[in-house]
Amino acid sequence: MASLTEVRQAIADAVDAPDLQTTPYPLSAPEPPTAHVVPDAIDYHTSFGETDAGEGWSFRVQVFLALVDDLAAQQRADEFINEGRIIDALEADRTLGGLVSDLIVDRAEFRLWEPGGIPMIGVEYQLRILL
Amino acid sequence: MAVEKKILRNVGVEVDGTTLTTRARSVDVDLSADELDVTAFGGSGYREFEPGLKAGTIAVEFYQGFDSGGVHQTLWPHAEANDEFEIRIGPEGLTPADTNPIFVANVKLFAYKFLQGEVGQASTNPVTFRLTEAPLLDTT
Repeated sequence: MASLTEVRQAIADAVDAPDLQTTPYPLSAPEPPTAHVVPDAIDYHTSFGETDAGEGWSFRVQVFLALVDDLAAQQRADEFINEGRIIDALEADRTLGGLVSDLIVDRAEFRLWEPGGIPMIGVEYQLRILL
Repeated sequence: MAVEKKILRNVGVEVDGTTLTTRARSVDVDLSADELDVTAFGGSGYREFEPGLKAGTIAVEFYQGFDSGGVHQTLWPHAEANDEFEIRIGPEGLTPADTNPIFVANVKLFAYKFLQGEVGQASTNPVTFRLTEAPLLDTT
């Protein structure tokens, strides 16, 4: 069975966009443009068997962009939904190299964050994984 | 000692020699008999019933999958052939014991759904088996 560490690393590796740094662990003061992986919830016992059988995991991938230039940051955020679709990158290999059974991106939300007191714009992707 | 109660989490499911435990999420083993009304004159004022013929039914909801040794590859040949095969179901895995009697029966497959589900949801396959003879409980 894949470990949480392996899966979050595989998700970070999958988020492959130009100039975007990715990290499998959330950073308190991310340097934009950057993306990190946040575990959301784990559903145990979704099928019969021991505790590691049939688990469902959910994650959020948060992509941060500097808001130094209002227009450029929002246009870059648009790119993640348009031609450089991060959903396509995340779902390109739905087994994450054979670590999991399946993966789906359910939702993307535009966000305004202030990590470390610095205003940033970004997109948060919500994904679910079946082990 | 606590009163006997059980949370199902490790029900063992074996179909025709293939263990499908981790691909199943619910079971219902029903051995209901017909209720025959045998009320006669001069009774107590209550109707009397006797059990008639039994119709053993096992309903299992599987997560549908097409891997080798998985749900589809195990069940589809039986859905096509209408043949008889063995099913084993244990309350706590498939190791028989006095405290874990394994329900063993010969069955035929009646309800099989090749694919069902909604977009974004795990595909499930609710399957119905019907017993062709009396079951056994394996405790050894």
